[in-house]
Amino acid sequence: MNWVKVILLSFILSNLWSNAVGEDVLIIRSSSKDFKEISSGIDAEINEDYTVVDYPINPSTTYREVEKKITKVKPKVLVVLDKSSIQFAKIYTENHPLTNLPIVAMGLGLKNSLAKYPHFCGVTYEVPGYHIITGFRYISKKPIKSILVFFRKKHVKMLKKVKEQMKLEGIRLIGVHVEKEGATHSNVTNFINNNFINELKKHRTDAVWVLPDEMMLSKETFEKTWIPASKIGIPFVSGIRKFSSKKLNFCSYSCAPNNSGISHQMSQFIFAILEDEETPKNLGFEEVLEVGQTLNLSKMNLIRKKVLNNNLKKIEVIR
Amino acid sequence: MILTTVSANGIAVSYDYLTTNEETKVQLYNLFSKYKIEAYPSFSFFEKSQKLKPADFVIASSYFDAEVLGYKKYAQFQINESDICNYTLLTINPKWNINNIQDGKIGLVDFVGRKKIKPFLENILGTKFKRIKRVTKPELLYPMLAMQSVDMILIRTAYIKKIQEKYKLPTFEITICKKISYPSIYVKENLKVNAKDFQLSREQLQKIGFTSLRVTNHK
Repeated sequence: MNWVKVILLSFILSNLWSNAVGEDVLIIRSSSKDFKEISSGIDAEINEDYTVVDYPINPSTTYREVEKKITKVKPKVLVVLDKSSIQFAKIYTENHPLTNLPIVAMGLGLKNSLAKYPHFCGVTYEVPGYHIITGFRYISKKPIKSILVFFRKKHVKMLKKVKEQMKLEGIRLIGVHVEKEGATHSNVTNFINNNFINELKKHRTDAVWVLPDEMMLSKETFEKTWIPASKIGIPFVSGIRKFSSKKLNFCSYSCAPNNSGISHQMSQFIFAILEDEETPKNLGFEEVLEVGQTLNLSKMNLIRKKVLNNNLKKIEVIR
Repeated sequence: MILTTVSANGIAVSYDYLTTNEETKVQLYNLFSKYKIEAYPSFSFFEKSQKLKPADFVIASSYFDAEVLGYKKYAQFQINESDICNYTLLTINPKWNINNIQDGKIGLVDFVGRKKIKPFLENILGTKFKRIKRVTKPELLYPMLAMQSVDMILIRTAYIKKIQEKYKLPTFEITICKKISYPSIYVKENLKVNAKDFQLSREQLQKIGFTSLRVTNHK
């Protein structure tokens, strides 16, 4: 039965070959809905030309299991989509110092946290201030010429960049440093609770940009200061969608990363590595390019601010 | 980029529009109501869907592989009786000029497909780019420039004024490149076209951004 031997031999050889050659892309990600969607989007963008293995992990997944997966799949590019996956990938590069596996990551604060890891590149998940401020200006009937932002030391580098971008857009970005009286949690809490409203009244800007910071937006400050301040008459804008939800009723306008946009951005990193011989070091990190927008119209009405109805076409409007 | 496609008796569209997928779908349905229309987010999805379930009609740029995929050009969209339009290369940094653009990173709406984008750029700008960023919508180009993800953007000249309603970023024009055709309607080989389906008034055509439709192949 020679044909049986031929088939068996082909099967063995093809397995040996794929074990030697490996798949093209391994995606390691949390099992949650958003990451599943982003992973599927990447797969759809690249699967015509490249093989993709999707590996969802959960809180009980160990580093050893992830390492075993990477060893088995032998990807040409590793994609990591959440904090845990990124952490595992960092440990992998530390445990395999001779590896040249390029890693495309998506997460918060990547430029800082991965600065010393040359294998990494990718997309930082924070919504850029540029999108938030120009997006709000486009829908606001009142011209937006100045924005107030409360910040901590860790935000300085980012805000410097946004300030320059806003200068080109003809908008003044004014910052209030909440650690003037000290950088501890209680210093920041006291500063915000004692000074926030005065700062708002002093600067009289056209909107307030709320940075997603746990120390500034703590349980001691949120109900006591932020929520009442948001009703005074100046619109609050942010990069966190739930802040403009009807339930929270905090911000008038918000932006959030768009999953299909992120898939497209991440795919371009993968193509650049696989087809253009680019390295993660050259590619670096990019900000999110495509965002979804939410307008809390009832909040705008509450603070008596009008919108330009013709410019609301691509925006989720909450009434 | 707006893509609409159908499995049969349908129209597929690939071009860089300023409207959303859903808006274009509605506009096209209003014009071609006997056809089923579906929207896709990018050129790669358009290509994939065409391979699986080719549409009877395709509206695409002149870079669409008509002959290879078994289509023939039926009609050409026009604006003010012209088949072609300008695209402008813009930057926010005056250091970029026509002599050094190949060293920079260029961003553009991808309506020709990843594999054709390098020869496309070489054809219209006369130079090879190593670093290219593709987006799916024209309105993402200005933010790319502002956030310095790219050094320059290629944008349909007619869109600039509209996009500047949202973004006030001052830009410098590096060059206006070789003219690019508006999209055409392609029909599957051997499919008979009901010409009445494509007899559209100027008013109707204006709703999808054109003023006339010149039939090139009377089947």
